[in-house]
Amino acid sequence: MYMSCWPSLFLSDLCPTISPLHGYRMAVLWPLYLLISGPLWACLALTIPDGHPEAHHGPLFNTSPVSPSVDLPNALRVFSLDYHHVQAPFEIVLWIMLASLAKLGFHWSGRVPAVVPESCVLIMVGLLVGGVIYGVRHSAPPTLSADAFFLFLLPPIVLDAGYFLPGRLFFENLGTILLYAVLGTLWNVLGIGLCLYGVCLLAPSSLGDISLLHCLLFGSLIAAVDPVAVLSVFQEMHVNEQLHILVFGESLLNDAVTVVLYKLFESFLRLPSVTGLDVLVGGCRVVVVGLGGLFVGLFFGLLAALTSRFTFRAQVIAPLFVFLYSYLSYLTSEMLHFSGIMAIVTCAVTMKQYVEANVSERSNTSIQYFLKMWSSVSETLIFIFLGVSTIQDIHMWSWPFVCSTLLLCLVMRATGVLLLTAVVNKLRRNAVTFRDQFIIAYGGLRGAICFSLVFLIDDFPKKRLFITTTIVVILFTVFVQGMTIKPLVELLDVKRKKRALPTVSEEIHSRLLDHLLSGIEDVVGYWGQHYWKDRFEQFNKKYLRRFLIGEHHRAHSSILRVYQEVERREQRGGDEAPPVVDPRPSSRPLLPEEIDSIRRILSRNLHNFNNKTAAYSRHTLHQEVTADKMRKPLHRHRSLPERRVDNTITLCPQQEDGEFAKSYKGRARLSRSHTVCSAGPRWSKLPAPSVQAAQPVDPEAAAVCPQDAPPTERATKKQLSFILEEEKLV
Amino acid sequence: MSVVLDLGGRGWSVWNIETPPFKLSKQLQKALEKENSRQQDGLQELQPEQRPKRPGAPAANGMPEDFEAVLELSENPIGDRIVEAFFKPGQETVDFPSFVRVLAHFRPTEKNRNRDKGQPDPANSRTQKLKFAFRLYDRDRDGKISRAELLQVLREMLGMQVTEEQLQSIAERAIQEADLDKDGAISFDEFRKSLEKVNIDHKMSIRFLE
Repeated sequence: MYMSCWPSLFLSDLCPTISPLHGYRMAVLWPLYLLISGPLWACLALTIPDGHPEAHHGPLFNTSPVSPSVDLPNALRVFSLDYHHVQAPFEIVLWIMLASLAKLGFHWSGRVPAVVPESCVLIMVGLLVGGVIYGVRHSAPPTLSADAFFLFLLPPIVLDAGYFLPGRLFFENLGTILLYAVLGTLWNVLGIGLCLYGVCLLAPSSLGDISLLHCLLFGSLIAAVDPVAVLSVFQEMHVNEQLHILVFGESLLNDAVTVVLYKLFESFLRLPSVTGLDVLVGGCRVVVVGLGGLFVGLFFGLLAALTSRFTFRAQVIAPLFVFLYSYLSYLTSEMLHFSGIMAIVTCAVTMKQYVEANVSERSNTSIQYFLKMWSSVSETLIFIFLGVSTIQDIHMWSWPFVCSTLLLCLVMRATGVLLLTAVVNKLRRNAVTFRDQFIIAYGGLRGAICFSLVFLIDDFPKKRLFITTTIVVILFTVFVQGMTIKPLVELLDVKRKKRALPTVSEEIHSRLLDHLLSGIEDVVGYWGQHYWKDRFEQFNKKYLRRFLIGEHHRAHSSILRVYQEVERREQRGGDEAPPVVDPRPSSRPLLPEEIDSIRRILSRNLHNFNNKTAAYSRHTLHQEVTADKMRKPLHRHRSLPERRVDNTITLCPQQEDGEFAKSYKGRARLSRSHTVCSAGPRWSKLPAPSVQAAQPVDPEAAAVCPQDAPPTERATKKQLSFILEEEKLV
Repeated sequence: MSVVLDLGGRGWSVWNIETPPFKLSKQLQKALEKENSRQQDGLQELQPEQRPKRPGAPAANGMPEDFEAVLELSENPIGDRIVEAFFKPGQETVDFPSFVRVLAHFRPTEKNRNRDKGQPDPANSRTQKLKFAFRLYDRDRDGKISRAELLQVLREMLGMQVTEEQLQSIAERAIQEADLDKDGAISFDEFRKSLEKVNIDHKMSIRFLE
């Protein structure tokens, strides 16, 4: 009882403005939800092995003896339970189910998503589950093993991030991102490590046995900004794209530095002594690790693109290659001790444009869908495990250490960002404003990577202290910073993402300016950004595309993509308000799909500078779904046009008012019935202009006067030419 | 070798044409050297940094063929328009100061410019940059981008990849969006309005020209 009314109380505290009925509904939903997931949690609590099977398991589950094959032949059992046979997969599935139900509950819980980011709620759920498990079994719940994390949970998230990375923006800001990632991380690591050592020296009684190398090691793992946490928080915020890509790109690229420093300090700890040469070797290793990851990723990306060229005979498994090659690149680079994150991101970025061209529409959808699904599940699992692993009995607390770590993390990050931005702004065209800098500094969230790394440290007396401190830092950044960053963004009035789609004229002019700048750079002989972009595009067209994209796809590519874009933007185009410009009588109004096809043509056929891909975050997945649903009816409609043309032509000669009005309405009805069977808004738009034109006619349909004939005539003519020309375009 | 240039009343800019990354194509570099040596005699005894280039002086002039020597420009879809933009209408040659004045459009905009109403806009202000881009479309210099001109540009940029009908509808759409006074063509103000969301300074600047 207490459990069921506590959530409703919690919710009503959070959202006092919700009506009582809504609160009542929430109060009913939550117990239902707990009822569904309760047995799951109970299963989890009781089925996880803890080394010594307890006696009361027997009567609860009526389990057969440990060795299922040895069954006393006294009597045949009608019903028997053999849990150990399916134990491992069963538990994994239970955990995933728990994670997914938690996510579901989060999205159903009314106002909570607006206030609390998803990661926080998931950690809280994990804490709850961990608490339940601990309470039931009086021993620590299972923790997230570092291997499972690095090999299974992290790759899907990074792959998803890399596949949907906005390429142009990323490469434009690459210098800044690299500076933040490499120098910023170095600054953080050294700063935190050295200052913590100072703190340890100041408190020799409790912290005396932590050496400098240990502090540096700890600094290296706690300084890393985590892409998972950053993604989950920033996606809900919609800040301007430049800011987003800076924070996010930094979190991706600093993996190279973090991995190297961590391994470096760890190996230093094992060595008897550290020389300057070792430090130099460490420095070289940073470069090797980063570049090595890059090349591994490039190699596998090109291989994937090449393979996808031949998948048209077995289209069903085409998505599989994307995942296999990406995962292979990750594993290969991990094997070679390169940066796995860089490899998988490079692989995704490389293979994307070729795979998208080569592979069928449905396969593209499958790839995107599966990527989003896996990364979503992974992220949820990571946060839940973070919560669960917090409940442990091996914590060691030390006020000075924990507090100074927290403080140092914040201070070091702030100073690092400020210093680097001062340098960067001199070299950039678009200065990074103070508000953006604050958000960059404040958005440095730590996450599960730190957590796994801290578990991997070789055992030494104060390891438990490190674990506790890491957990505290992670919880602090995710909860405090994660929850307050959204109100801060609104308070500081940080520039948000531009909502409006660019207009066609904007796109034409932007392309023209791109060409102009390349031309001017050629004249002057300056090898600037546009020059390199141009060169790459020419290289791409001449060699890569010819080699990596199948012939039959190249010819149709633009037309195919016109339709793809039409379908994809239809959904968005439907929500967009029409432009203010009234269509002039001599020109016909353009259909949304024509607008979309125009955009499509521009963004693909002109020099391919600006690859606007569809959804970028898994929170916008539902938009993709509806666009996908509409794809089918659109293809089905290709056979319809001939019929419709017939209809319009036969109705044209009838100019009599009463009949005309009827037949006009009839035609509108006919086209509307097409939309009923297709359930696609494309054709529903078609009667809309005709209905608009017919508006003056329909209300007066009962008593149509002769003077309405001429305007309707013109309207029909417009309608006719509209339809006929539209068919031509199709 | 340093060249000091008077950029339209906004002060001097010193170009050091031998150190990288600034590197003129060979033709233009030769033209520049010839003119520079010609200008060295007959100049007042000023500080070396402040010796201005006299505009309009007869010098080795660039011809359209020199521009075509820049190879990549021929692969650029609007290459010939760019070359045309350097030449004033009716002129067969371009002298170095005019060349520089055109390039001055591509300097990054200064952020805190005091807007004196009396002084004309410097070459790198947003309006001037947009005017330069406008001139690329408006070849006949009538102050408007007609549909035919827009179609021409689109044809050059899109080439063989789209059908004539699609080109028509794209041009149609662009004019519809931008044309506020319904005269069937895009005037400079309409052009400017349609690009108000685009960061022109970012797009139309070559950084080293500071």
